[in-house]
Amino acid sequence: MKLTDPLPTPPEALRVGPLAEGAFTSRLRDERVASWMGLWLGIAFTVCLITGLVDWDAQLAHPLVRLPQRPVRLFQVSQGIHVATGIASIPLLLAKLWAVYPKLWEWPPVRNIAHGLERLSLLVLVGGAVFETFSGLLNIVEWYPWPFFFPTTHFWVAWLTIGALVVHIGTKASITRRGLGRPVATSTPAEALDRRKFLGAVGAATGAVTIVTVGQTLRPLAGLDLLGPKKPTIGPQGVPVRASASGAGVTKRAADPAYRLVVEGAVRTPLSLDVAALHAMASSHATLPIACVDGWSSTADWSGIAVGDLLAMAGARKGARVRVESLERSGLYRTSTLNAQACRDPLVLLATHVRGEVLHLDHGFPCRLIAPDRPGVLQTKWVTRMVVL
Amino acid sequence: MNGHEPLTLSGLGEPPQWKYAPVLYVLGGLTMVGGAIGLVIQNHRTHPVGTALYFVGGAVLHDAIVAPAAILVGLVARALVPEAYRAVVRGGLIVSGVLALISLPLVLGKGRQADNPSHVPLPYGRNLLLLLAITWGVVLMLCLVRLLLSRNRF
Repeated sequence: MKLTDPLPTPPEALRVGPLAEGAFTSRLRDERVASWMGLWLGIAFTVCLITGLVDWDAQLAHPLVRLPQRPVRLFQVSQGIHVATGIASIPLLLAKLWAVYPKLWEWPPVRNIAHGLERLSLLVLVGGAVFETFSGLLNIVEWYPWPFFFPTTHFWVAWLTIGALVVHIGTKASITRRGLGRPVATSTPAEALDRRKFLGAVGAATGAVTIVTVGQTLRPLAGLDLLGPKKPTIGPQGVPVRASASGAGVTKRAADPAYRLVVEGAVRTPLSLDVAALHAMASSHATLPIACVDGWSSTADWSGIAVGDLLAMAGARKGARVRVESLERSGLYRTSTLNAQACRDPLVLLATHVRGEVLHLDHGFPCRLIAPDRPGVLQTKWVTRMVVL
Repeated sequence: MNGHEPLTLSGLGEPPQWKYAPVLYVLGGLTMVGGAIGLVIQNHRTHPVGTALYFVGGAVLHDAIVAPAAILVGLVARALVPEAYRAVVRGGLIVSGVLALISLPLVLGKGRQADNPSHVPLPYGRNLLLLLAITWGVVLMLCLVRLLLSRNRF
């Protein structure tokens, strides 16, 4: 049996409700609308995939492609685009699904095996697209009403979705080309005008959700940040916080006079520094954004000790890498590693101050890592140990 | 209508398949298989049953509730609003619906953390009302413009 051999049609008596012919009446549900939405959504999902992969790669123990450390805003821009594009996809996705909704109820439900397979891949595409956009939306709010770990699941479902999208582009390439091309005389001028107004309304909705959220990372629009889960200016010392000291369970140990920063491992002179010693050595400055993978960012003037200076003082060899460890007892982001290039970068600091004030406990007092083009979760806070590798 | 002849949204027949489509089927199929394998291999984090539930649940929620609700609202609007203003009101409904949807978790106070006041720090309910007021203000203005223009014409 061939994939395209017709399958038997179910009895016509079952063709009721939305399955009935002519059940859907809006003339807006048109090939052109579906094609335009598809094009916009395809671009949006591609941008989300690429920027998502930048973040994924940056968090690997051994990145496949090492992100350059200049310009210092590269990661911030990439991550801001990822979340902004994801939010902008929501109105596009809903409009697209509305436009093609009658196809869900097409008759007969399965014409042949190839058609059945295509519909199955559409379930993957629709399920994946809804899953990715809405799990992302809830993640930035930090609301997790589900049993899975968000980053890993969001990553793998992205591949399912993109795979289904590639198949969908294959099945719809010719029809989309027709839809985007010069209009064929299937609609009146009034209908064409109405269609343009509908596309305009979807564009307006996309613009609206973007403009009231993108201020969480785009400082000039911070005043319009009405529905963003973070605001770049709100937080201790004017910088937002992802993980608080009490949430991380480090309040006591960070404030303990017995606290020391220890530099050890492959060094000639291991160091052990208390808070007063750290402050005495804090002479380097850097203006850097802290850019969270949740799509917000905030730029501040940090000061502290350049990691390169600290390593030179301890007599680490050139080209060494460093594992930075937090006071946190557990958690995926308890430690992070600085590669050899970062260890030499004068903008990579163990910061003790932000905006001229001693770091707030929630920003990582006594000291935290701050480096250019580094995901926020790897800007380790409450640093207590640096192991030279 | 021929039961086996596929009809497209436009009522035109389906054009012939793009000649490179099979390449995309293979590429896309392999990518999907990769994603599925990843979900299964890292099951200690992805919780495949939970993921599957949310995956299918999202599509079902849309198809069974969100889409019919949107269609119902559209039908009611079509019945109530004179044709000249329909497109503008439809635009207002689309913008309002999407703003309400993306702010729903925030308005419900989800994600708030007692020890981190910098997270979800804004009065989201008030902000949403403000945005809805602006949206409908614009809708009203556009309707008035439309009304004045049509009066002048005749």
